[in-house]
Amino acid sequence: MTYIDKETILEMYKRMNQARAFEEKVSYFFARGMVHGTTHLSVGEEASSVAACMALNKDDLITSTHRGHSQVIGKGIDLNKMMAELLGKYTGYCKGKGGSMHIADVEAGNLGANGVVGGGHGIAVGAALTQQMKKTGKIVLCFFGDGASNEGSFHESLNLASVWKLPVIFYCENNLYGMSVPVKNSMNIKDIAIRAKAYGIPGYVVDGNNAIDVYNLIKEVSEYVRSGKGPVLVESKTYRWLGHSKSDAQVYRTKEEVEEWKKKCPIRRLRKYILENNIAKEEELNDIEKTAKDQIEEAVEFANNSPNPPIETVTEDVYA
Amino acid sequence: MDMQKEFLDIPGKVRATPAARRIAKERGIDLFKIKGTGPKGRIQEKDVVNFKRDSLKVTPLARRIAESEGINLADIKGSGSEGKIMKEDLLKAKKEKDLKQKPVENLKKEIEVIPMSNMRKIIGERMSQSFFSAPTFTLNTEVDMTEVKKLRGEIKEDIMEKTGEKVTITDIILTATAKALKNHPMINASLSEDGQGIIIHDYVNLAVAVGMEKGLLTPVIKDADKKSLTEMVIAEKDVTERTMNMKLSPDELQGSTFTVSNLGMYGITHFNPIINPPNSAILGVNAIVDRIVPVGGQPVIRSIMTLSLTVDHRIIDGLIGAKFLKELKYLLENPLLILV
Amino acid sequence: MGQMKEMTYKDAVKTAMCEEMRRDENVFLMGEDVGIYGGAFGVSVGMFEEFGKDRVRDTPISEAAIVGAAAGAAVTGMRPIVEIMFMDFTTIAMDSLVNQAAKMRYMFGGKAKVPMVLRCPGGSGTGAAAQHSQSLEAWFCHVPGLKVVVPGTPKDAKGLLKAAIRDNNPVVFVEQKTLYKVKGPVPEDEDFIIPLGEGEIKHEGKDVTIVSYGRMLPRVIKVAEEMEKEGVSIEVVDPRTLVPLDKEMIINSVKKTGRLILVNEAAKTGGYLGEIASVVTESEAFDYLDSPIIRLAGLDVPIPYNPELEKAVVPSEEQIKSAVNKTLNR
Repeated sequence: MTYIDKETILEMYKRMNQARAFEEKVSYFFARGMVHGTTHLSVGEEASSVAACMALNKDDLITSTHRGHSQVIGKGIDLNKMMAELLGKYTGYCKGKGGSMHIADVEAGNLGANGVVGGGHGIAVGAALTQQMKKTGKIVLCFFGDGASNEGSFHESLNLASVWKLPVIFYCENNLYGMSVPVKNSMNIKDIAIRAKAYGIPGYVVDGNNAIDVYNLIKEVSEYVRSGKGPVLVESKTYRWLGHSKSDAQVYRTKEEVEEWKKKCPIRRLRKYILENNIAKEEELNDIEKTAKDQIEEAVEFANNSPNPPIETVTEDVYA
Repeated sequence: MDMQKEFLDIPGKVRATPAARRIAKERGIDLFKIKGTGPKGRIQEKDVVNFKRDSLKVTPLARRIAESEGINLADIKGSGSEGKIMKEDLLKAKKEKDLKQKPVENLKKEIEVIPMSNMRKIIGERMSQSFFSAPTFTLNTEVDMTEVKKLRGEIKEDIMEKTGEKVTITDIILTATAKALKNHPMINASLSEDGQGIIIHDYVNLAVAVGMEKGLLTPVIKDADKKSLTEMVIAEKDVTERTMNMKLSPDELQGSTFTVSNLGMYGITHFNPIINPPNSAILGVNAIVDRIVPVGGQPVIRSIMTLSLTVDHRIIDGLIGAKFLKELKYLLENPLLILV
Repeated sequence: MGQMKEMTYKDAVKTAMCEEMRRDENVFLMGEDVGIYGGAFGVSVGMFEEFGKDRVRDTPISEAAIVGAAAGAAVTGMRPIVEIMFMDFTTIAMDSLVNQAAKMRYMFGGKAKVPMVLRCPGGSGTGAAAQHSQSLEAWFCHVPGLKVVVPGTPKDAKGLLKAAIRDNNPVVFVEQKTLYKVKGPVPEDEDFIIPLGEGEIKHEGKDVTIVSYGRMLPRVIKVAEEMEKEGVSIEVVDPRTLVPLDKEMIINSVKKTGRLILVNEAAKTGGYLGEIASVVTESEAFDYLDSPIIRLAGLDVPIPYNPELEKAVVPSEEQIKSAVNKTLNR
């Protein structure tokens, strides 16, 4: 178990709170029909996404998913631009052209959320190929879910990365459901991590709701991957509290199950860990929580005051 | 595989290609008059193009009827083979014509008769007199106006300062014309009243044709040969403006020795102007068109303008007219000489 | 253009790749069997020896992953050339090409670029039958964000591939199987580039315009040369790039001749010829059309195995001549 300094832990706690507050705010908007389109919220998965990102180097890269808000917040993002993008504003990360499912900041190493399940596998492999060919020492963390591990792209990409020994952490967040289909009905195995064996690469399972465990594991496998030994597969066991998207009545699971998982809330668990280990005081943590909420409010205000993209921009940026 | 359906013609519509329709429209030809040689009788471009050129197929009898009744054969659709115009077609057309000439009450109120204004009547009389009495012919020559355009560009600011007016190509042409006329007295001459004598003038009074919606007037710039370009600019502007505002005195419309008529600004490339009596000639000025011409064996772009000089053969022969045009052309192609 | 060298279409492709890889270390090639084997059609023979396994990469049979990887490498600073063995297999890579590569720039508000080239051979005529003989360029022309190029001669193959590699967008470069061994003059100049979007008049004429590309192009040129002896003057326009299309060249030619025939080998329905025909009728060339626009394309069938049947699917020289005569009412 690696020592994590206080600053890092508190930053992790902050980002997890930002993620939670962000998702709750977005959920609020959608419930009132104030936002265009749909979105996929990751409430309950904060540790899985944020801790993993925090364990990477600042200039490492990630590919993100349609349920990627906590992933990109974990990587470090401008909340204003992110909220603006969700509201389709010109000041958003993608100038309003991408929306929730395509948030990206390529220069900062966020190669984009993906609206296609399994769409990020190939891109992560390619990005890792670049790092290998240019010998940058950077690695790529590819976020994807349990559903995506059944896509052809998963198998093709793991195989290709393993053969070429590319620096990718294939990070599967198994939240037990595709959209509505539970994992037991969509695959014949219990732990996705064992698929690593099929490609001759190391596979790991981690409690995705334990931020410290996630952080430590990713730190460990990062070293392995960075050293050029090849990719790894990590399965993070977690759970999403809300429906798949805004229009999900959740008829496929019981309220009891949801309540059981809420008890394992990752934010509460990290808070407990911090207090129990005297890493920080309650007031500090309360402050962090409040600040996170305030920052989200600021982001909303920024987004609301931002202009829509001018109509002429509809034909811009198709070609370089 | 395609099914061979019987595609029926639509009554009231004609099969014609876009190219054919375009040319028919340009030339004001009724597509229904044309026989198409394409599949299913489709009218093609060449059918329209050739329609103009083909001599009409007319029986001799039909032709005689057309002449005596004053019916234009181009308006008749022939019912004979290959559109040949037959007697029956003429008789039908005559019937329709007669119907049209019935009393006004029988016609729908679509035709309006405008009484001729006095101006129109006078123009009509004078033009008729000139046209029907004088044996005229028109000489055309092409002038490279590139140097004139250049010169104008160089002096226009100076002249604007001096006169407050813009110097136009017309001004330059008028000045050059007046100069050239001094050396060609026959072009500047007039026919005497009794038509037996030629009057030689030792002055040049240039009439400038000013066209307006209501008609044509030819005010006169007196002693044009004594005017410098600057003075011509002032005179031309003045006389044109007063003509438009109908503020001319009667003697400003008389006493010309030569007339210049400029239709260049309307894109006219050739025309046969009618002499303004008692002048012996009239100069028509056409549009300046950029064209590729050989200069020293190489293709270059030059601004080319046609001058059309109609002369009265009783006074001026071809040679005399040609010499005048040659000098005028030379002046315009070496315009610094106009300022000398 | 300087010195010319006689070389085959596939050598022209290879030469383009080699020159660009020597010039820019970010350019590399990956695909199935492109390494020591030299490529399924022998296009990359010798490249592995010159550039090594890092820059001429054999991949597993994983079209989705390799095209996805090309997109990922391109968006992070490389300039990959990915070879798909047969155009028919782009189907497996569709998400990577259409949903990812073509859209990243736009979705990310212009803050990404994907400079990759997807090379694949298309077309029938080799007896490879239904799943190895398709001409699917119309699909890619329909995806905003992609550029589509179909060279019909060795010279065009070289000049256009170099341009495609230097282009900062994903380019689908459709090679023609049956033209790989055709020889032609190719400029030796390493800076010889044919800009994407620029067509070429392969044969001047004034009676009828034929627009054609790819495999059918040499057939059309041959017809033009033969019919010239009969006094029929055909203008052959080769757009070379399908997206972006050189509309001006086509429109000007049709305005001149008044007649248009379009020829390719892809299945007629939904094919790209319909697009070109519409471009022409929407333009001012419409006023100059003197006969209906004719499309000569492949039959709407999967490609059959039997060689005579296979031949019957695509327009023949006789059919092209017949169409010319029909449009001229001869």
